[in-house]
Amino acid sequence: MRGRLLRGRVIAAALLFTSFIQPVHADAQNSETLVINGCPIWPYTRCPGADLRHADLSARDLAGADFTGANMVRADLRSANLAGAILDRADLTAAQMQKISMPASSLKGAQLRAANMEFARMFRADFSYADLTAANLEAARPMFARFHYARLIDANLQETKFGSADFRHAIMDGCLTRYTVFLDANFDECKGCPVGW
Amino acid sequence: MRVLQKRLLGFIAMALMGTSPSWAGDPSMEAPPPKTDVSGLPAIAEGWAETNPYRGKATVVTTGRALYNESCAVCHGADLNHRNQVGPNLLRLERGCQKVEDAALHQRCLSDVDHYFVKSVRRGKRVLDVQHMPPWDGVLSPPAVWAIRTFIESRIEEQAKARVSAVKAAP
Repeated sequence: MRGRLLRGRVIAAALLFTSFIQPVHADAQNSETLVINGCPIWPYTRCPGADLRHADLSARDLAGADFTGANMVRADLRSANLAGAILDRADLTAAQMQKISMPASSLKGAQLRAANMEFARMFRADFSYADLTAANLEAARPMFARFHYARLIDANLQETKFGSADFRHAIMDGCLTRYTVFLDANFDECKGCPVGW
Repeated sequence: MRVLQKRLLGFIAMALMGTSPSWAGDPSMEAPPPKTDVSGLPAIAEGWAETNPYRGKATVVTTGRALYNESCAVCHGADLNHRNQVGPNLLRLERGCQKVEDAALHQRCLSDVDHYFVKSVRRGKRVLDVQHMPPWDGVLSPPAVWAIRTFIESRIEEQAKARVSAVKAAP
């Protein structure tokens, strides 16, 4: 009985100690400013080509940021604000982007393979030439978004609201489209887009 | 002769219609040259600086304010009063920098905001073929743009000071 109590205390102490240790990749100057691999995390930051793999950017304000060509594989962007951000050619493979707010953002040619964008707000975002293979867009809202030449293969589009979205020259195959809304969407020259809308 | 004149006028009107952008006629989308006299602004190096060369210069604020109210207030609100305005609140531009304590990082943060501000002013805002703000490049000179930026900074500073004194005055 005593041994168990001691073991519990040791575990609790170990947990408390580890909670004070900074993540290895974060060279933060103080508690307010986070700098990851030379990229400061604040609105309008300029980090083209930055290495932000596995970075914890959840709930961060990164409005208007420039992440052109950045490596953001498996980055945690849950509930982050990326309104008007530039993510052209960024690698967001398997990124956690649930509930992200990214209206009017630019993701031209971005890699979004297996990215999780559940409940994301993506009004008027530009996904032209983006690869959304196996991405999860469940209940996301890409209204008026642009998907020119985008690849939507095996993506989860359940309850996604694609109102007035533009799928010209896009490729869609094997997607889950249960309760998906394609109202007023443009499917000109799209391969595999739904018919009857 | 009159018929020829009318035809010529019609042709000119047609040509103008063909070249005018989609937002033509919308007063908030026009970028008319400002009438405010900018000759009194201190001289700066040619071209676009990385950071605001007028930062902290109180003498520039009055001209900046006049320029702002002439060119920007139609969307962002007179004297930066953003209530019920279509444009975003420019007093929030430095929200990320205000928390940065390290001096070098603070400078870098302000430089990032300066870059974003100048880029937005020069190129305007065009999202998926919809014009939200006209491009001011060639209309507003670098000293004029930096004067406007300095006016915005002065208002942000005023707000911050008011907030601090309010906190101090609280029981």
